[in-house]
Amino acid sequence: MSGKTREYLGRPLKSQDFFEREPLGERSLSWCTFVFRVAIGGVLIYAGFLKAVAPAAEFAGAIEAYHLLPHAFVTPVAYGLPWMEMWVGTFLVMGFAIKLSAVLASGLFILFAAVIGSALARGIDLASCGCFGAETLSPRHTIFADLILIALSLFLVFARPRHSALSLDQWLH
Amino acid sequence: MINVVQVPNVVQVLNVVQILNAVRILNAVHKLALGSLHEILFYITVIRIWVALFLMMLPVIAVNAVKQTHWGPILATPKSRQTGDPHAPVTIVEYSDFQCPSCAKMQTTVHNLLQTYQGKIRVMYKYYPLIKIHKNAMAAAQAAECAADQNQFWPFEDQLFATQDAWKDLQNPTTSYLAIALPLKIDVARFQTCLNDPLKIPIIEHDAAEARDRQVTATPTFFVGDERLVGGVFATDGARAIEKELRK
Repeated sequence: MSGKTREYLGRPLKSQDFFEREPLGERSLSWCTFVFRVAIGGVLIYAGFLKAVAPAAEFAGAIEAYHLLPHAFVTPVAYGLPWMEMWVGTFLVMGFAIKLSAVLASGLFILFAAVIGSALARGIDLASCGCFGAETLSPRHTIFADLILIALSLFLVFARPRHSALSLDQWLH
Repeated sequence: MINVVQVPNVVQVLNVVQILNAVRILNAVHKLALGSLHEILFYITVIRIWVALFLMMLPVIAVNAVKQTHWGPILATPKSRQTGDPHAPVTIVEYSDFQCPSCAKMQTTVHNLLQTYQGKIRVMYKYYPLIKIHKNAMAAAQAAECAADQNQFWPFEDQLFATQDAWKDLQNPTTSYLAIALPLKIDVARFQTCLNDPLKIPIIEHDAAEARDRQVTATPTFFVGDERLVGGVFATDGARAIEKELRK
């Protein structure tokens, strides 16, 4: 025995630390998922909020411009989708049901990218994608942003950290 | 053969009783533990449901605190920018941008409805140039206002929309507007002077401000009575909304 005590952050490392202290990689992953959660959730809350505070007819008009949904579904989707975005976003920011919320978020972003992509492919001239209410963001920029958000959401789905920092899931565990 | 029944001694009996008691106690503890586990799981589920409901309420509270429920009034529109029967029971207000492709497409619907509901509807045109994304929208609105001065708004508007692709990307679209004005009953010299009249801008901005007060965020937006129809929805729902207003 050399008698030399191993240290971590200036404190002698006890044998139990190997079991109780989270490895550094796990902690980084935990904070990484926190940042991703807030980024994805923030975008969803912002997008949903702008649409929800505007008259539903405005978003219905934006949906109609894609010529994808049967007319009967346009108004119900215009009423429901902003709330769906805000709820998934709130769950992600607060870290509640993270995996399910991340699956739903990635589903939403894949849907948005597919819808905008199909409009571009069909040559539909969209002044704005309707994603952020009155805010105008070009469809190409939106697809690019969607792809980044899909990647971040899928990371949350598949990274499987033991827990995510500052999350309700961790608190309720 | 003699069967000898061995009578257990006291120690043996006590041992058996102790074992039986131990089994009973273990069983009870096991049942208690299982029960507690189920209870804990039940309470965790209940707490999670309450947390989910609480989180879902947060956006509802935020949206209700901000959402506008009353919109600004529709202000008077000059007669030159109205078409249809002036005494018609149904008024349709159109907020539109001359450079917007959807607005151009929607003109067919407007004409069809005016034809179908002759004497029952009148249409008011309001300027809402989306200058952030349409560089010639303001100039086109100004040209239309100059045509309105000479009571030629509607034929000029039709031609502006019909030739949209030709002038929308031009650096200076004035020549195109003059070309539209020439065959119409427009005094071209007066029209040309008017195109540079800075007093026309406030008229257009006044309409745009009204649109913003009414939370109009996209063009074309139509109000059939109180009902708001945006973009292509007017083509599918316009007639239904007019019928609904006529039944009132």
